Amino acid sequence: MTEITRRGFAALVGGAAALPLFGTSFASAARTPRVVVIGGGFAGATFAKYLRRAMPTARITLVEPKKSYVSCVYSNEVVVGLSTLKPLTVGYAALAEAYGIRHVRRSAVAIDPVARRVTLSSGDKLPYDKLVVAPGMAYRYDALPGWNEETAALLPAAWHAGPETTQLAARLKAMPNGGTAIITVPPAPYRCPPAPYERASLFAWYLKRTKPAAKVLILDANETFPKQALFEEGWAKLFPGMVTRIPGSKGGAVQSVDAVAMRVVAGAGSFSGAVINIIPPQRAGDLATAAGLTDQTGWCPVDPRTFASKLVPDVHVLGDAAASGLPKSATSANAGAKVAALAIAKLFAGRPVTDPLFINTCYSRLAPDYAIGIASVFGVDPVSGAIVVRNTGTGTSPLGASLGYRKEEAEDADKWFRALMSDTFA
Amino acid sequence: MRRVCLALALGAAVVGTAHADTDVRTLADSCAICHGTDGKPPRDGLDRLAGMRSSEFVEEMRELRDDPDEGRLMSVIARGYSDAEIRAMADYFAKLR
Ligand SMILES: Cc1cc2nc3c(=O)[nH]c(=O)nc-3n(C[C@H](O)[C@H](O)[C@H](O)COP(=O)(O)OP(=O)(O)OC[C@H]3O[C@@H](n4cnc5c(N)ncnc54)[C@H](O)[C@@H]3O)c2cc1C
Repeated sequence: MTEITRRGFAALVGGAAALPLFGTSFASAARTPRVVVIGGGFAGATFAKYLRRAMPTARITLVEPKKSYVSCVYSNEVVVGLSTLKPLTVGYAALAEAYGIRHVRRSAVAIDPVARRVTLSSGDKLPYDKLVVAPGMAYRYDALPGWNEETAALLPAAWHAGPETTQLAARLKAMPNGGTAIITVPPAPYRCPPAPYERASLFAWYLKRTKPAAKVLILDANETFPKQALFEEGWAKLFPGMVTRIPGSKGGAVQSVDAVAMRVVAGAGSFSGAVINIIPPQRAGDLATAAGLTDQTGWCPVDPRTFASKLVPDVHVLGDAAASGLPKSATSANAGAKVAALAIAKLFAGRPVTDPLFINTCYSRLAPDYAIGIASVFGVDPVSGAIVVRNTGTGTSPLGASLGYRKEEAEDADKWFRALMSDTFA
Repeated sequence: MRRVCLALALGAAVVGTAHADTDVRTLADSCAICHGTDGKPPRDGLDRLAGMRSSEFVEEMRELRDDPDEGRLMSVIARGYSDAEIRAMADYFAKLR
């Protein structure tokens, strides 16, 4: 069957749902299936590896401009000197060598969903049978007056790990004893819902030891946040009086920022910061927007059983860029990628897609030996098609636990992180 | 078919797993974020699942599920699987070396 007939056919019969009936013609298509993956973060790298496990002979190409990846997970530890970027940095050699993934060190700049080709920054074009788009999130430089591409250098977000992480660390270090470090939290959804509060905690831990007269102020667009009671318990216990949060209902949403005067204006008033960490409003990575994969929310609607785009055929969107109903976390990116890999292998083979399952786990560190966690096991509701908790598989660390328990959780977190990195990249 | 169970105590939307048709690879691969790919953790990691006796796997999961003080976050995660799914994972990991 030619490419054109196959594509026209799938569109005619309504896409994935109809495929199993006609699957044999796909399975017997003479050519080796070609899968192109754009973005080698937690989502794209996991997907490439797990697709290889499910499809030993597919041609899998990973388009990722970077030579190595720097994990955001554990980057808050770097900001306060508890770690460095080195253990957070990983190359793509293992994916190439152990899994036969071709790594093309280019950016994808455009997608032609009709000809099914990706245009690279070099001008080269890569043909695909299935395309997986996993570019992560992008900052919205147009959403907050005073915060843009220029002032971001003075007010580093450090919501992408790497140079920004180092810049923020330097600013915290240079902060005088007695100033306020301000963290602004954008309206949800954004990358890693608990991470702003982990950062606030580690700021307080660091300042308590080095600049005990300093304070941390969280200006929050949201009303509540994950693990809130556990964070608040930890703040009261570890750094009493140092962390203040103004929620959305009390005017916490930031309205503008002045990088020269170092002032933030929110509904609750105008605040002067010695360090101002703007966590900006976010949307799906640029390529997703350029390729028409996003809706008015700025994120990419997908079917959470296959991660197929609801807008563009033969394209699947993974990780932070996707509006799947999963939290925007590395664990969810990894979990979703595995589900998508198996689903795509089944679609190629003409077999029915089975029910997905995802685990999201997230640890937050408040101090070196003090971590709190949250975990959920998600499935998809067969009626609504939405992501829902399976049985009673959701919960957090207990409130009121001993310091010994929090220390064990900090050790669990280290073990989890090492396994997550190797499951994704090695 | 009514698959949605009534355990709404947590306020979140929930789904029962009794009728879920989930591939055993999906079940087993979900463990890898903490226990390593194919249940083989990196050095200084959590428990190795590959090669674990299936009766031991089943017993551990039941204990975790029924005693919230047993395994920290793993007690929460254990509640997300049905008995049949736990048995399927146990058999799957027992065969891995
Ligand atoms: C401070 C902080 C702490 C966090 N802590 C945790 C945590 O404890 N636990 C947790 O689970 N999650 C955590 N996260 C969230 C986690 O980092 C993200 O959810 C995760 O990185 C999302 O993975 P992704 O693959 O979608 O995107 P990314 O990891 O951002 O990867 C996207 C990749 O795509 C590439 N790319 C982008 N555009 C293109 C293009 N046009 N062509 C080719 N390649 C492209 C990029 O170079 C990048 O490598 C944290 C995040 C932050 C900021």
